[in-house]
Amino acid sequence: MPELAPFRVSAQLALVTTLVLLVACLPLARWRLSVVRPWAGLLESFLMLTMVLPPTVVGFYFISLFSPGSPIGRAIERAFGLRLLFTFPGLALASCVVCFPFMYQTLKAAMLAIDPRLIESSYTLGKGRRETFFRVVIPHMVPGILSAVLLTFAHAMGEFGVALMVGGSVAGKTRTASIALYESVEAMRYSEARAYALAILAFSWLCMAALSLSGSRRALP
Amino acid sequence: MKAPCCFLALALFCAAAAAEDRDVIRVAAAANLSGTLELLARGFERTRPGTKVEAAFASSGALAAQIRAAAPYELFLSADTATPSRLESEGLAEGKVRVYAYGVLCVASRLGVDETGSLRFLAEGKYRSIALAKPELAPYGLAAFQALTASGLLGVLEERLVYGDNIGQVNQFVASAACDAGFVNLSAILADPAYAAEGRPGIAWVRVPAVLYGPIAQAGIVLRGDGSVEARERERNAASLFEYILSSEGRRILQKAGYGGPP
Repeated sequence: MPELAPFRVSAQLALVTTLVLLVACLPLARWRLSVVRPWAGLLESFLMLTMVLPPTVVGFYFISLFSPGSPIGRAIERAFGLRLLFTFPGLALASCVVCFPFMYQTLKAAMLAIDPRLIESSYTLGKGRRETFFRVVIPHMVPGILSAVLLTFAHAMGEFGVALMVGGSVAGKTRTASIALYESVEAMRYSEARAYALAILAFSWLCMAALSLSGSRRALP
Repeated sequence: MKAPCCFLALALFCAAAAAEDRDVIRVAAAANLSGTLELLARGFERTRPGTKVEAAFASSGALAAQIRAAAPYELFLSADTATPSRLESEGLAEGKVRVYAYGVLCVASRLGVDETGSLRFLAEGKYRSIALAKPELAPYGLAAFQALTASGLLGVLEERLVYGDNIGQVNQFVASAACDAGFVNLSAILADPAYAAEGRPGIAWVRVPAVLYGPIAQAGIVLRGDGSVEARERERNAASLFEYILSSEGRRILQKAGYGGPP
């Protein structure tokens, strides 16, 4: 029988990932669009790497970096008493790293589509950068934010590769829906696998449908 | 001119690959055999020059699923006896299921182990994450689960157990010190310089007493091809590789690599 717990883990993971990335990427995208130096582009390219990197690579480095046997892992454990590997916080961090490009790129594109004259007018009227950001930029990119949130949420919900590498499949903590599906296939419980797969398919399609319907309705002449 | 040349080169390459293909034996092997199978393959290739053994490693359950979906393997070396027996009863096999080795379960930890082989030391708070293979998928995971149950530790440790997809991943978790302790196979320990050995410091390990878990009988089977002439030849090659693994020389290699005989 398929269980509900893996779906709860996936939903929690997707929620945390989306919130963290939204809060981090909005100012980051704004900052990036005000810096045109090559080094900013290089930094961006590094952060965007996970879009093309196989999750196995991310997972492998994640384990090497955060293992309690490594200096970084030891330092984190000593400072916060927190272990990242095989725990939900660690999985959430890995998921944020992997999903970063989806949130960041979508937000940046939406921000770039804002009429610059609006922002200039705000400055001319004596408003500061911060106030302009919150009262002009963000209100003008709500559809873009919605797309970024949906895309990131859907992607994090289906997170598989990194979860397989660094999750440890701890029931109720790091066993996500797609991992549960993978395990039921390996254990040859095909009817259970069908139920998991269908549920994930339905949810992902819902997200994509919402994404399409919330997008621009403008027709190209 | 360029295009026909490329095409010709490609055609020649394909022809050469096809001719060579006949002497390749493709083995689907349980993850615990990685390393050991290479030694066996090298020994076999020495006795039959020209043949080549290619191996794919995964958990036995995953490999069985691939074989059912007509994956191109001629020999299946499982980590248990049930999976190959099931393939045999489904008519996917050519020969008989035969046990080629018995697995030896060990517990290893970077924080030290109890040399007597008792598992009670794992109850100490400093062992925060303990890795084992998934009991329902991997025989070494099942053996670890049995050993923990028999030691009365399952209840205490339940919250700290971390599951690897197969024994290879558990070995990665333990050898990279990502987990504080873990249940791995002896053959992985002997092959990996991260573990302590005579005159070499490293991750401490000890054999889990055989009374704590059911024997890990590893069986294999020659798989049935599509019935073509080429497939028959491949089956014969695979059968002789299996014979070699079961021979005294094969057994010697397995023993040296960390596999035991029947308990």
